[in-house]
Amino acid sequence: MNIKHKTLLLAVSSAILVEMGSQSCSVTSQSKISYVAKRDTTRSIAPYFTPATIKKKTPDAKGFIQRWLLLEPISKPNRGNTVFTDSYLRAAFATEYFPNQFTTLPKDGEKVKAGEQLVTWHALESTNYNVKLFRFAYETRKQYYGVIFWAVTVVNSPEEMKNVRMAVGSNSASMWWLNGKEAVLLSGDRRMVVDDCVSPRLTLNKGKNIIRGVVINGPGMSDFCVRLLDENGEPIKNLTITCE
Amino acid sequence: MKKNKIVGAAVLLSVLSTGTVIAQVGKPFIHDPSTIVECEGKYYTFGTGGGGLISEDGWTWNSGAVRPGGGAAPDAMKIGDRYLVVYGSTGGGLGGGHDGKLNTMWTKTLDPKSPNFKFTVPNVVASSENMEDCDAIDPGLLLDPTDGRLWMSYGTYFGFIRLVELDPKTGKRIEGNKAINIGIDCEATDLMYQDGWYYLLGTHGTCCDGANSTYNIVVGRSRKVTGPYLDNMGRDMLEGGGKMVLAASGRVTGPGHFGRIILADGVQKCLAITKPIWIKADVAYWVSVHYSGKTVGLLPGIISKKELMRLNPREEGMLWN
Repeated sequence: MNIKHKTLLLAVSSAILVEMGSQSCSVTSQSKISYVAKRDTTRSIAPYFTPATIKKKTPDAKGFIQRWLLLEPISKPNRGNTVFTDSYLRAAFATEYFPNQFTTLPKDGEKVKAGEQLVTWHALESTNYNVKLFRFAYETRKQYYGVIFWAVTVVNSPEEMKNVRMAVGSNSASMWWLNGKEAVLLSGDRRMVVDDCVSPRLTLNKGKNIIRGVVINGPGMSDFCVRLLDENGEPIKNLTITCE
Repeated sequence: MKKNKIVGAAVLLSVLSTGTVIAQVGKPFIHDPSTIVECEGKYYTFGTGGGGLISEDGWTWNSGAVRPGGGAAPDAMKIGDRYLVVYGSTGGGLGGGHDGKLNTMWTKTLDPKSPNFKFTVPNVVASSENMEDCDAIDPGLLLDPTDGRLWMSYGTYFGFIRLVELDPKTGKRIEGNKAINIGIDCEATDLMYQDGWYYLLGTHGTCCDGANSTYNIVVGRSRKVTGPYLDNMGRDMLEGGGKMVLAASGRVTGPGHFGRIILADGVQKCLAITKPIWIKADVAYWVSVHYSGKTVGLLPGIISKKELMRLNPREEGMLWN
């Protein structure tokens, strides 16, 4: 069954296959997005996120990074996630959607033009170990299926650390960079799994390090989790996470 | 193993993708099948909407087991001298809003030709509203053989997989019982108990997209029915963990909706729904599991109608030491 994605959130012209996610054949083919919106008149990113503050923040007890600058989703329609091959992803992620997307360290509230869309960066702290991008999009009344999300954070290290691995889980595919160098690619139709993929050995600089990520999804619950592991595979927690 | 307990020609599936998948014959077409239940010498499975299959030998299936209520993805089991059926009132998720209700009802027989083929008024045992972190669909039942308690898992990719307790005498929710989160990122879950472990089987990936379907079945286990369910690498299913049980192989894709029936001591059959790429309908497949002692696994090979071949279990199977 196919449904047409309603333009309640953003103008989307592509059809999204409603059978994705194994739902019953008895479900009607007519979109219920408008039904949801009518029932859901008040939306809030709480309890999934709080606005980022300037208070000292370390990774959580298991080393997950919770403070991020998140860019509102950029429309990238895909009827399914099977297209997320390595070659597709490399092409999609090499595309420049907005100026300086591979180098920017944005500010909270900063707006960028991504094609015809004007999207905003939000400095947020996830209340969970993972960053629920679906909720970020839905609760801010943005497009939540067929999208690309960009995420940036600053990891401040008290010393140089060698043999560090970036461990990532994402829904669906994603790519991550540390200080401008590609660290890890998660390809295929993925669900978020803790430590699903780990990078080659990396070096954290003493002081500021920038982690940048991009997550793509067709239908499904966009999501990611990131932590840094030491050479023994243990989460690194003596870091501070900032947005600048 | 008793030969008369061997139901037709069993089908085996190699998890390591080299085995041959053989579908059941007849018209084994169904969506979201329930656990197979034996009733008065025949085998039944219910599906989404009006879907349902009946088999007299466990090999040849035809349509006919239609239950009331419609809705989606039922599960069924025999408790005492009657049968409990649970189903979701909605399809949930991408097809609509996330409001959902799970309903239980009883019947004295699964045979639609019997005058006793009547169902009680459904009881709502779990629900979801609006955009909460759970879709109340895809129920899976477990009657704990150690203490007789009745449990139900439910949920989809949208949020958490949850666990609630039901009263095995009434099929109703135990008063005061609170739902527990036991997994994420999967759907069509099922619970089973074996050799001191509780197993949570869930379906990951994308369904219902022909050859593009990425549906696959994973498992975690716990010493307690309330979890945590960890996979063979120690990953919690609440953090996306799950050991692969069944994925696409050969000419079939997107297996999901696991169910298990115990035919005899040491003989179990597991049902999964998958989609061969040469026909459009969903087809039910059997997966045989043989176990002896504490070592279990999914075994390769083909079992004849006459006898079971004893083969060596593999570590990569569904259950592990």
